[in-house]
Amino acid sequence: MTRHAGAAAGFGALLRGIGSFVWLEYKALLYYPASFFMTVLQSVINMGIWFFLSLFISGYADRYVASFGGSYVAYVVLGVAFHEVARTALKSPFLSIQTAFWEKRLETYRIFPQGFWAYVLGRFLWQLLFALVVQTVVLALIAGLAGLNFHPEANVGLALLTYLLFILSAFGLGLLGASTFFFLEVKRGVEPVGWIVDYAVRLTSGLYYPVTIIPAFIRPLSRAFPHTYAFRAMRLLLLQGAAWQTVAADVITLAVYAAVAIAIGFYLLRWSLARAEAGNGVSAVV
Amino acid sequence: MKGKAPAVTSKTVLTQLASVWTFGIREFRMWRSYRMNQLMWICDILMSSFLFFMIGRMVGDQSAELLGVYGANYITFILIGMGVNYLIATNLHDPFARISRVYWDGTMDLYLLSPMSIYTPLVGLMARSVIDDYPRVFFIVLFGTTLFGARFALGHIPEAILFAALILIASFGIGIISASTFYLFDFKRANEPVRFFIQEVMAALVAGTYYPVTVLPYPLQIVAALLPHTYAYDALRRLLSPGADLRTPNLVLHSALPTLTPIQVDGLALAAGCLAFIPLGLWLYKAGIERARRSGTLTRWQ
Amino acid sequence: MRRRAPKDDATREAASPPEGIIDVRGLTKVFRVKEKGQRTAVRSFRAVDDVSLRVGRGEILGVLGPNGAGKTTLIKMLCGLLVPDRGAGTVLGFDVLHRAAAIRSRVSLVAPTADIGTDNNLTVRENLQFWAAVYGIPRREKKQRIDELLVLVDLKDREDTWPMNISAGMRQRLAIARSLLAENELLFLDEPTVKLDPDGARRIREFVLRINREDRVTILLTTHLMYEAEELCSRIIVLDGGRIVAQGTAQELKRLVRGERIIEIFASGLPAGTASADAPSADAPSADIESSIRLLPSVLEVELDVWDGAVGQGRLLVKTADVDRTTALLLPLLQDAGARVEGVRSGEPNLEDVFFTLTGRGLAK
Repeated sequence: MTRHAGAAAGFGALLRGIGSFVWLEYKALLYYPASFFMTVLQSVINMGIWFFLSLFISGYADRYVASFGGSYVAYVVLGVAFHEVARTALKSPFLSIQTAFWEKRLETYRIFPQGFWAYVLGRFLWQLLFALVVQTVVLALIAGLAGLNFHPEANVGLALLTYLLFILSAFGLGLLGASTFFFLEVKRGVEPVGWIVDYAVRLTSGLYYPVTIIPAFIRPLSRAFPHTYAFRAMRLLLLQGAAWQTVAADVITLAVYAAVAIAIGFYLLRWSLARAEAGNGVSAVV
Repeated sequence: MKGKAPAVTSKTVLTQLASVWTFGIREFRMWRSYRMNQLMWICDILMSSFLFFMIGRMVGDQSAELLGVYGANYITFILIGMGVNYLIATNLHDPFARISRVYWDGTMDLYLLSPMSIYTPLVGLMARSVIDDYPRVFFIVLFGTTLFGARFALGHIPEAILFAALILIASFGIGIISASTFYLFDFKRANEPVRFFIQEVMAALVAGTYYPVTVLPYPLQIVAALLPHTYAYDALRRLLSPGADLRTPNLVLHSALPTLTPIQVDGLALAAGCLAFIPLGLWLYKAGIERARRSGTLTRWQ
Repeated sequence: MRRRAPKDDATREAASPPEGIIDVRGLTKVFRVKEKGQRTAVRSFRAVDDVSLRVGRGEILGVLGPNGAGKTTLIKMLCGLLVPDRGAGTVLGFDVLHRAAAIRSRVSLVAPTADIGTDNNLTVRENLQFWAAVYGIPRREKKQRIDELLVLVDLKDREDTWPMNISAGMRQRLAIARSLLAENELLFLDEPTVKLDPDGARRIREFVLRINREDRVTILLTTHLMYEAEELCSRIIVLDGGRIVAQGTAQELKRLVRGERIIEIFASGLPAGTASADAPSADAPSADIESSIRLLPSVLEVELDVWDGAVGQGRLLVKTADVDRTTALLLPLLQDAGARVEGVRSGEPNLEDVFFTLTGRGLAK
């Protein structure tokens, strides 16, 4: 009887594992095609709501966003599109762990050296790609129908880099939030980090209105989140055609934020997993 | 010799009402154990109100010009939309969710093996939604008036209650239609299309929760005219917003019935919704149960 | 405990049928199941096929059969939860096809899964209070009824406990208590003792006999447990593949076995794997031993069931016309094949023997 050589380790194996989980999510999507259609439609509707809401008050709000091109509609639509993708990155790790836990798959993934991380990263990658495609389509739709004008000299490359750093920052926060699944025993519902970030970002990061109109005593809170820097930089780049010098501080802040958040999130999640396995384990006891 | 079913008497109706009350007590006991959930939705209301308060700061003291027939207080306009939306969403969304729950936990069989009519569990299980969601309107008003400067006109409270009742009934009718699809068309997954298209697509975009219908392109205003939500928002804003105009038409149906006041048109439209959706929903729900009895799919335990 | 009378005077006469509590003919149910694959196909199978039966008032009828025999489907048709595709008849005097709602409000059902209907957010007592109200039990009777049932199912000391903190067996007892709240005159018990320990199961059986004896409650009981069917049931029907293959008292059914008897041997070291039409017998060790046994004189049928392939732990059922002779030849044959016999049983046929005789399979298959 031939014995197996043992599960493969190393970066190559991790990449293959990630690819496998991406493929698994793709197959799940094919199994429920109606779900895909409804998700896209929901995103279109969500964007549509903010489009019409911003249109409703644009006559009064445009002057508050003069530094971003002067169109409150464009200001809000861009913010919503980027926020939805970042939100996916923020929530993905916790939701993935929660799903695998209650479906009793987490222990199975932990058996293999890269199993757990391949699962978390694979699902994150799939959800991110999906969200990117959907939001790009939605943005194009709204831009086309409503005539949103991006600056003709917008630095698209720098905008993409900013976007990537923004997503990585959100993912780092997501890893942090995912660690609460074990060390705070948040097994059901919403995890506290994501919940706090979600609300704080909506209220203070300039997503729906410029930071300048926030009461002064709350304004410092906006500096705590990568969203503030990302929204500002993306809007300046795409709506004002800003140059590198204008957004350098924001982009560098995002890069540092992404590195620190991912590092802390990774170690905290790894620590909480080890702690759980030393305690009650990572399996749902039913 | 075949037996006769007991005739429907007041005692039988009372028995059904007693069962609904029993469900209410049970759902309240269960609701009490989810403290965190209650805290979270209170925070959710507070944050959402604050969000629109901040948006409203950009409008400033030009709300009257912006809102037109809907008065002069932007935050009041928004909060009425939010509150009514909570009520509608509960009544429209939850029947399907409750029927889904009794299917997956196997209790539909047990509910039917009792003196209850097939409709009683449907109404009774809604108690959780009522206990959990309806009080949110109170918190919306509380936060709005104490923290964010919302003001409400109190001169038409009885009419406002009537319109609230009409939209609750009409939306519950749509909710029952949605619930019926669970058994009628085997929509066992969470994304049931009736509820999805009416509430999460059409109503969300065009009914006027966060902006007046007049902002929309005309084709979308016609779509809005098909939804009971539209008339509820319009009527309740006119009745409860300080400085609102009760007479100037602004909806498509208002223009189509110029001899009636906007409030009268709104009332007629909502009444028509009640008369159409409730009987249709009850009939479809019963058909769904009968279909499930034929196919053996009342619960997942077969 | 007094049985619940029909709702009002107008229905009292209609609810006392002269022919029997259950009197149905030709009940048939065909399920159509969608199967997902490359092409969506619909497969139909007859879960219940032309079943006719009569149950008189005060009878305890047992329904015996393996998984998939149609027992639960039959019960659901009789209690009005499932519409038969064909057939006719009455339950409690109400037409089984057209008066299902009337039937449903007058019968009780204990499902085989304990957690159905048990609310984990209510205590044991609160669960019963909820259902007592749903069943319309008057308030002045409710407390006493619940107290009696809690004592009966031995949950009185757990009445303020959450269901998630009691065992599965206790939850099953709670489900039984719930179903007995309404005190209906017809009770369906679908494998009611399956999750109970011996003492709990015994208490339930004693209660079933008591309510049948004292209150003339009519009971239709499905079970896998032979001794339970023999102890409780005045009459038994045997279902297989949706059809009744035999019916009668336990003694009448045992006489069907006639001179044929079943030898049941428990052993280890039995060969695992079963022969199939495609596999040559030489490649299937178990096929060797089965065919060897078949060649013994007087042996009619053989069934080998190995449930632990690692140690070859299993059971051999051999139907024979001559128990003594077959036993004398069988034991050395097994020893030569390397098996270690751990127990032999034969003698008075039981219902498992009856089922094996009728279908060629054990009840566990």
